Amino acid sequence: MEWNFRDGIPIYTQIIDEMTMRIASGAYEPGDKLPSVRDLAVDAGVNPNTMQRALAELERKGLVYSERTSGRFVTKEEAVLSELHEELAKRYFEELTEKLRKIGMDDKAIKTSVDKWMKEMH
Amino acid sequence: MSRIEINNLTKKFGDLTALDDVTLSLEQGQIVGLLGPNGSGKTTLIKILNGLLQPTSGSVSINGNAPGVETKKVVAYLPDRNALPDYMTASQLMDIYGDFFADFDRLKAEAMVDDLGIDRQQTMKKMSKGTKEKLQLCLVMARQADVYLLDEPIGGVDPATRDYILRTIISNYNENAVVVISTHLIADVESVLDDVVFIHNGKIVLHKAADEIREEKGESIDKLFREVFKC
Amino acid sequence: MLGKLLKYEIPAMGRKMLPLYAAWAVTALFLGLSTQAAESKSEFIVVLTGLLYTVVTTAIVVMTVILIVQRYSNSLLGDEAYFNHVLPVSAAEHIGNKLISATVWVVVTLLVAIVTALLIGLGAMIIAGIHGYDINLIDPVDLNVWLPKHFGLFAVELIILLIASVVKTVMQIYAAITIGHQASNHTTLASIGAYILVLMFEAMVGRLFMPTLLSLGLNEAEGILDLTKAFFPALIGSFAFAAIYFFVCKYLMEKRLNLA
Repeated sequence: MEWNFRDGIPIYTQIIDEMTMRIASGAYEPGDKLPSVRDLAVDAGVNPNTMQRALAELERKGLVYSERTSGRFVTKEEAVLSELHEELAKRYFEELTEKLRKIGMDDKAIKTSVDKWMKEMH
Repeated sequence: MSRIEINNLTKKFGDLTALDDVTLSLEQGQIVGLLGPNGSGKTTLIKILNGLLQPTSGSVSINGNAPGVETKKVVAYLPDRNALPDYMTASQLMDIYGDFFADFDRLKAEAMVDDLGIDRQQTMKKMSKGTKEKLQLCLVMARQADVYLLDEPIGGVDPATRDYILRTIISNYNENAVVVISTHLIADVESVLDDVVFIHNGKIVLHKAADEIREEKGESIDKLFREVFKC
Repeated sequence: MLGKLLKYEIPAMGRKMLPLYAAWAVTALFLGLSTQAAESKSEFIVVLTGLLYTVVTTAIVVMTVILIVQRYSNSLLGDEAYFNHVLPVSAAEHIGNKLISATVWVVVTLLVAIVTALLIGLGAMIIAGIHGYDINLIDPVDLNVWLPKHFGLFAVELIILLIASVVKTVMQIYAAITIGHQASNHTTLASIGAYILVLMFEAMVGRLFMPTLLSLGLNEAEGILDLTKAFFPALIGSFAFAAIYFFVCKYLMEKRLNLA
């Protein structure tokens, strides 16, 4: 898995986004053990403290949990995961809608083209 | 705990003021970028911390001690030049490091030397400039030191080696050590830094957490650096 | 730590000296061979081998001095100082290491000089043996007539004084180099200047104490210098100078080190 960081955004928020995406997309499945902070940091090419901070934030959100001796795991709680999907879906939908509105499409036009593109993309 | 304390440090070379009343404290568990253009005083500061230069006024301490035998036991220094005797092989240099530094991990050094494709039996004299730099870095990073002072560790190496070096610094990280990386190549190192120290004309102009800068300014350290040090 | 330093320093100098010794021994042997061979051939070869031996001998003397200077200034004040001065080793140990190594190699060079002299004789005897004629030796002397009383003690004292003066001279060179490096540039020139100053200092102090020293060693009855009596004052004198130079180097290296 590739890590790409953009300028001007705190690295730890970018790590949170990337890890969230990996969990939501199933790259890390529920109950999976996460690599160690050091390994993740080396892989991403970031400071271990930053990685630690990002993981702590993910833990606070309930997406991962840690067991004192064995490490960090992806949450198995369905509720948390479905909420995550909901949240991400909403965010992407908002981004999409915002852009389409910018190019002058109204809600009806958006709905029509969503249907149209969905079919073509199959 | 603060590993490095610098108090009102001034260093003059004749009329030139290389460091001007610098006060800085660096905590353990951090990777710090000492960033500044050429001639800003980075190397002078690192040399003073190693006892290779004496302050004109002010003081420095490492673990509470002024530079001396005690601090040299716990400081791993990568100088800005090749300082190793050139008639020796990589293997002999590892012997020397093992003899003098109790915290030197021979196996780790050998693994790094092999990873970077350095011939252990070749003398320094026959190595390219880049290979010499790599070997010097392997020796320094194979120590379990309290303080790492790396003067331009990625200056003269190719991108693949640069990545290897940065990965080494990250994987070598431990919460008791402080790693100081002096460089003007900010884009390459900024993702590994906790703290950023900008030095300009011998003065510290900024000392902040890297993510804090990105958050407040909404731009990369590299971009901020270019603004601060615009010619 | 001093032991560890010596472990690397003595071979580092030996690396340069050993090949020279080998060349020295070979030219000495050639010279010896040619002295006797020349009786039947021309004297030209003797002159040539003699010249060669002299050249190599001079080269070794010069090389030894250069090496003593280089091993000190490069390791402790040049680029390699960036490595040596970050080792957890005190300035005193660094200086002591260089001093001991230099002294060892000067003494070895003197011993090799004796060996080459023997080799000249050996070469001559080999040729003499081949041709079966008597070797041109001076008449055997009655050693008892020529050697003074207490010759053994005399010799031991002379050797000790010789070593002491080697130690002093080496420290003299180190002090000059260290003082010279206090200059921000033209350190070589400054070192030569410092060396002249050190010599002047030594002459001045020497003039102050020499009369006392001589009076201690002077045998009133015979009016000649009695080495046995002068031995301790001379030894103390050498070591006192060496100690002064040592502390000058130590002080400058601990408190005033400013690597370019």
